[in-house]
Amino acid sequence: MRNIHTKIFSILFSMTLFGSLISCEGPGSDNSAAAILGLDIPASATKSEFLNRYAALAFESYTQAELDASNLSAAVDTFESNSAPSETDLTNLRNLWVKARASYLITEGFRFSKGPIDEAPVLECETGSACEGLLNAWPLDEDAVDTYITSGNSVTSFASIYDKIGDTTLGTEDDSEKIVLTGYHPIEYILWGKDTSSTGAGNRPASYFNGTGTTGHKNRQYLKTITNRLVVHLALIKAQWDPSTGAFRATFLDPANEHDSLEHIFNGLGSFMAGEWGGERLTGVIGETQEEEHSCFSDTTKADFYYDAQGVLNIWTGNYSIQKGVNISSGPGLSDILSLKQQGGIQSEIESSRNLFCINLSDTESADPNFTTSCPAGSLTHRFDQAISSADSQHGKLVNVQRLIGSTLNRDFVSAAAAIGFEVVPE
Amino acid sequence: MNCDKNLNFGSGTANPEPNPSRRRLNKTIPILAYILLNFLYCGGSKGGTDPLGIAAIIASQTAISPDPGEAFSGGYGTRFISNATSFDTPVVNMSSDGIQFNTGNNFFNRIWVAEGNSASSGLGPTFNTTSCQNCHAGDGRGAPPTGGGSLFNSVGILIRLSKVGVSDPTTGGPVGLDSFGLQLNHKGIGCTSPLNYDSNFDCTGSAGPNFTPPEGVASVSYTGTAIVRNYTSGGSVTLNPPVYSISWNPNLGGAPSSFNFSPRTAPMIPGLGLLEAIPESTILSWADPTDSDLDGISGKVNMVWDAKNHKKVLGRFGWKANEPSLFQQNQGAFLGDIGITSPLFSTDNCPSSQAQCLTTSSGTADPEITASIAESVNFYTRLVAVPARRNLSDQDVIDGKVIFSSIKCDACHKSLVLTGNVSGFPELSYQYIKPYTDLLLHDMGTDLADGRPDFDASGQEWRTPPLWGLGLIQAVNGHLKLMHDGRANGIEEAILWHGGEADAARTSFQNLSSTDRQKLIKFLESL
Repeated sequence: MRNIHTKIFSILFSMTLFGSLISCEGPGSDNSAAAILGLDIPASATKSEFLNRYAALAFESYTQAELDASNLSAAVDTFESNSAPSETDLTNLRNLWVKARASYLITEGFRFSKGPIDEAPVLECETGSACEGLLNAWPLDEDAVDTYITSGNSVTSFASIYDKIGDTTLGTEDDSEKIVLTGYHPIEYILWGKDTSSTGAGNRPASYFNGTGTTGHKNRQYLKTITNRLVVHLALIKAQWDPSTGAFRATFLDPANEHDSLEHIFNGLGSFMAGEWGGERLTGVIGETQEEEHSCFSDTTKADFYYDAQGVLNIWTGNYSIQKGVNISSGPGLSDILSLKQQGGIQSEIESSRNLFCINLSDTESADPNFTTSCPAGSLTHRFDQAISSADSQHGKLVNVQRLIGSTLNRDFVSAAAAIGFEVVPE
Repeated sequence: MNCDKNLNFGSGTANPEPNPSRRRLNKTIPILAYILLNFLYCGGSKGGTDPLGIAAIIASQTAISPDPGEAFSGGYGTRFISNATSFDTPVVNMSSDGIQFNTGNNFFNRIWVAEGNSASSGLGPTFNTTSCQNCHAGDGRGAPPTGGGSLFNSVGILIRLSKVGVSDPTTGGPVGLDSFGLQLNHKGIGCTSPLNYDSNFDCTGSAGPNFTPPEGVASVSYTGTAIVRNYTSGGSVTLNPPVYSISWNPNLGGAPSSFNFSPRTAPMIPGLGLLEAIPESTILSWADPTDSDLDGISGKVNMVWDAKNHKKVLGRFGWKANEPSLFQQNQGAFLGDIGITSPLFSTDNCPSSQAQCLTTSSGTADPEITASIAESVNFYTRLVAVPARRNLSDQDVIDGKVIFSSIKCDACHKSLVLTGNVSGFPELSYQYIKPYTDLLLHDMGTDLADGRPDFDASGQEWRTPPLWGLGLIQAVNGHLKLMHDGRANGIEEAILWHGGEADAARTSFQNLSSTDRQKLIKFLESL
């Protein structure tokens, strides 16, 4: 959906060049004893072993994302059938959204890698549309969503909503992809509403959904339609990675494609780091406007960063993990095809990038079951939409993490790729 | 990362030319000091002074870096990439960590949504497009619609407007039309496709809550009286002049009784910071407004309004050199093209007669972008790298460069320029660049005239456009529509459109043999 990725790697290239001039830290701290002794430890996995694990990890990650979206969708179905839902019912949906969002964010490390998530030639979730934009397009034109619901359009069929993507009578855009009517953010907007608070999230009342044959009814129908379809889209992506039937997986793992598959992963992860995770989503640190954050209705932006980092870490280590420190499954990661010295400080850099974004009950406004431990020392304890302001005492932490992800980590990642013969080039 | 890798980096396949850092090492004392400082820095505390800053100081006080060579069109920042991303990369010699560049890039690419939305809001109420890069695709050039047609969905070109025979008594600049301002905004928030308007520009579909009517729609056709340029050696080329028509929104008063207009395509982004770094004294030294040397080429400075400092200064950006700085150019484009208010232009672009525009302009607090955002975009536009020249050893290219000079194209398209000192930007300072422009206004004759004065520029005068990157426009943008309104199809037509002060050079081109014409074009394609 975005056009920001074309130049990422030349940026990385130059940052690597000059980063190497001005920064001289040694190898990563995780094997510091070996580092101090000047030892290297050879790669522990073949490229083929890693690619097999990557495919398995993708399947497992999208399976979990689909499962959590299904749980949300089932609850939305019940909610939709109730003409007078309560605040408790609404809170339940919000909590399920937060959980579904977390497991989706963990899949984002698979983006930009010429796979089924964002490559229309591989998979179209709807005719003519790559999947990612339908799931996660941003920014949201709230007027377009409101106008769609209130202006007499049918909200009972997904086809009618999909037909409106690119219909400029609803919104303000001339880019057909940019009338955002589907995916996590419209669902988030419906559940929370516009965030007009300087201290909290959007506060949509349950009464917004009240009634039979009313706008409230349409609001529920719209929510149901797009949430149901979210599950369908995730299932389509998951199927491409299915160990027994996944068409993309078969091509991806064909020994003849080993080099290309790895190259796409390096390019994709690097694009994601510099352009998306450490780039676009952290531009608010410069913009400093309160809603310049990725999940601005629910104010769960810290979780976006946390789980994005976890997703990158999963690919790096080969462990599938959602809750910190708990590995659901393990296997050879990208790091395992690199020697210790080639790995540099990447693992600790990813972990630092993740750990800054401590998420907890008060910040996610949800009983997020996956991560409820106390904040590690040095983490961002202020709300993201407060720390985004340069007047906030923790603003510097965001500036530093933007530099850590978008500059240091990327530089080291490009170097690691180069060390085993993959030149990261602009897409 | 080990420091001893430094000197090998950058010699990968992306840079087929000799590694610039090696060449510098061999040639110059300041650069030696620079490298040495980096080694010293590695052994010492990280809290020390920025070694690149020190290098810049040394460079500024002792010597100027030598011209790195013919291929390096943008000095040491030149990027050796020749594909669709050629205009879209940071300078190689970036002295910062790149975060501000990356941030500026993100805002340059940002798609804005209507005023009143929660995030990325501020678009409109009237506008031409929703992001910077919609017009500057791949940081490259915009173009009119192929074969002509409505400009509504060809956002790489817009129409400037102004009153006839009037200039602003304070600024000396053009005065906007009472009902439509200084440019035609084809779009308004809430209801943007002309397909959904009735003949009165009323929204016929379901208008959004912030509906603001657009100002009108322009279209172009190539039905003007054809111009035939003959070659002495035989053959000819037919040039098709564009004809523009505008449908004015009758709800805003309809067609003005008289007006000046000028179509302008979006120029490419690479090297803007280097153009800004050319000393005023250098530009002034080229100016010859009265043609005192009687070479037929005058060259005039456009003195334009600096909105920040409230005074007239030398203009250097835009097709008529009507913008003094990237700071003003960028924020002007945010306002004029996207409808985004900024620290410099903090009032929405709504003429007093546009009631709906005025009503809906309060949807997002002004200014809609912070000084930090404006500065990051400014930083970005300064440091996008110029692509390197290619095919330098091709004998036709070598011959073509000689011909370029012999028929005096280089009287305006200056082939070697030294930038001055830019505080805080060693990347831009003291760089030998090959921009192929003098940034001056020249009378280009009646065929190219738009008849719309812009500060000191008459209706026949245009700024010499830089030619660096010319040969890569096709790869980046998929077209080669040249001149201010994209009327020329390719380099040959562009040369043949030259008139006025360029009559002699153009005539010389027409007198060349076919072989020499092709050599000249091959040279231009190598830029």
